[in-house]
Amino acid sequence: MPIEFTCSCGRRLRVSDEAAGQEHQCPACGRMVVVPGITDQPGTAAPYLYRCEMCGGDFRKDEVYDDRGRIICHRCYDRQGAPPRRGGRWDEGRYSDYPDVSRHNIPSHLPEAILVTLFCCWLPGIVAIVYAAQVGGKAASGDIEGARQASQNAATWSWVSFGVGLVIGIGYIAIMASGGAFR
Amino acid sequence: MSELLSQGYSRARRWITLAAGAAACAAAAVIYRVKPEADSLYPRCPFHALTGLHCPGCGTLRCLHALLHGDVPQALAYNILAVLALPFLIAWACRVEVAAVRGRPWVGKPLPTWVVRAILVLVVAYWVLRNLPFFPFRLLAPHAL
Repeated sequence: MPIEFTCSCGRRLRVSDEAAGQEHQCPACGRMVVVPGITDQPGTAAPYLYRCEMCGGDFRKDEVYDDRGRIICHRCYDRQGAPPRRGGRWDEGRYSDYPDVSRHNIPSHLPEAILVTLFCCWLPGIVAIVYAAQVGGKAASGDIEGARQASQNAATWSWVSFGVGLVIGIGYIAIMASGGAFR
Repeated sequence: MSELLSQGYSRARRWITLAAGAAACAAAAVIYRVKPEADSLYPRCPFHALTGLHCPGCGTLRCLHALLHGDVPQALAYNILAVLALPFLIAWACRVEVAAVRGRPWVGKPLPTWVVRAILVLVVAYWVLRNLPFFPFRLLAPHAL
């Protein structure tokens, strides 16, 4: 059964119920919207689905655990063995410490930024690290839009660095291969 | 709204990720076989060529070549920061590739903000310090043992 909901821009949207709890771009306004979950009773707001940080699967709120700050599903929780389940169960108070990074899965793109800084082209790479450093702080302070923007910028600058490194590399190889005529 | 349904983990992103993994392996093979010397096919750092100063990434190619041949001291002499970062980057890449093979995105647990800021300071400090022409900072500049 498809889910019907209204985007903040007013556009009426219809998606498959598999998309519940996930973020999608509204085709009308381009903003990212979270698809509401399946309602048990008509007219009531349903819990969102949560994404397990280990297997990436989507689960209902009562199927996930807060594993020392990591939101993981019951199956992954069981599979990693030892720690007793008591106290590991969902804890609303804990969760409020990292609400939006976990829930919205905003990547900082820090590994990419460091990769391109050390291996491609350092200047845009450092800009990317600066943006990557902003993601966590902004998300923690509740500035989700800002965190997402910083995440985007970190990704973009990583690609810029990669592109510049690639162009210089290919250009250099082309010059060398042409017999070093420019030397 | 089929546009909406296709947004999750796009097929293009998945294939780009897998292709990047393959490209990295191929690059490692080339770096292993071809010795980065002044007169080789490899590009040299444009920042170093223009200013004579070392950037944070200077020496990384020679560093990787040394590392692939098991010469850890020489790798450290070429770019110590790259050697330190490499285990983390490899671990990260493995998780991303596994996620791509499975067709699910993977977003790691976010690092604490102070750690990310410390990394930023470390990279910038490294860039400055390795250009200081006296002991002990001279050791941070790429040099052959």
